[in-house]
Amino acid sequence: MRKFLLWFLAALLMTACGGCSATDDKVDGDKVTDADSLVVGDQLPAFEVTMNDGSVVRTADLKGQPSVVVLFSVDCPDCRHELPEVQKLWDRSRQGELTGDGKPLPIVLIARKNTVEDIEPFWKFAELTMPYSPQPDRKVYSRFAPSRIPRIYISDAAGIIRSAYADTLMPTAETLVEDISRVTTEKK
Amino acid sequence: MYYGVEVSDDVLKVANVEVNYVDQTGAKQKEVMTSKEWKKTLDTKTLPLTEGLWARITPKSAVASGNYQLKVTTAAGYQAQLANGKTVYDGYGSDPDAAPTAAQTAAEVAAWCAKSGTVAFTVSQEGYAKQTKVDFGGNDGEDADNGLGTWLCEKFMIFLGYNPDDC
Repeated sequence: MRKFLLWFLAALLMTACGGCSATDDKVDGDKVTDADSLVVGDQLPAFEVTMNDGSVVRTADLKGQPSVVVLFSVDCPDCRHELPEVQKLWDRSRQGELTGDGKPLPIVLIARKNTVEDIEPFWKFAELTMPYSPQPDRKVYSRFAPSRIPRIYISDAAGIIRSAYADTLMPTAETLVEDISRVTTEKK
Repeated sequence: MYYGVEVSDDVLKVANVEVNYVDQTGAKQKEVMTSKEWKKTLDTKTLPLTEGLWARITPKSAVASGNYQLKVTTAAGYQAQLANGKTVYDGYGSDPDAAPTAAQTAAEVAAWCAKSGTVAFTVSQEGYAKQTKVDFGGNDGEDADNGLGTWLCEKFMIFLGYNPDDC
């Protein structure tokens, strides 16, 4: 149907897609399947990640207020398209716009199989300033899903996922702000 | 750099399509589309570069009433080598899964023709892309289409035998 696509894709044939393999998706030794993908209504999984600024974020730290978790890989075109929107959200959060009490909303960016060396060139290019957690493997990512990236989860104060985006129809910063506003309003 | 344009069967019955694009030297080029598919590969080792694509669609002088299904899909992409040795690819374009527009009169055909959008982005020295605008004369103020990313990635993964869910 779209023969020109084959040409288009053939032209890209030699291109690698680093970080895309699903071969090491295991949580506690169990293979992660599609049924394991977190959806709205699920609890945020337990994780502990070290950010590139040295701080440590645990799931428990995110409870008590709404939070945003972003899973990304700079090897993924869609992630590169979406991360500037997340940066806009981050900027608004730092200005205290998202919580109503002037405090920044926790926004945790967790890489999937990307090291600092992988991430920094794109961060610099896109002028991103938000902190992220580099990850040498897919272990933390696999607590959320077996595949598809980027992913964005907005959770409420109890750590229940209230909005989830995965790969397609990724939201603008404005849409994320509206989602967060809904969660924040419901909290009151 | 890669460009592609595809139109539905009815488009060439009721309209002329002139593909405008930016070549590897940065010069704007034009080619008339004579079949449903148009594609172009241009090789360059020089970064930064700007890619731009616009299908200028103009209705033919006499369009009979009918039931026309009109759709145009545009795509532009590239692959580049990053300083760390990794290959990066990216692409932009219109949504290939968008439904065709039904047009029955010459006025409806003309209205559809006027909506053809532009794809444009700049690939930096580092190898990453940022959307931009290219003025081909007649498309001023058009926002660039950006629906291709997921689509391109998924087709690419299927083509290579990987799981498209990994996009």
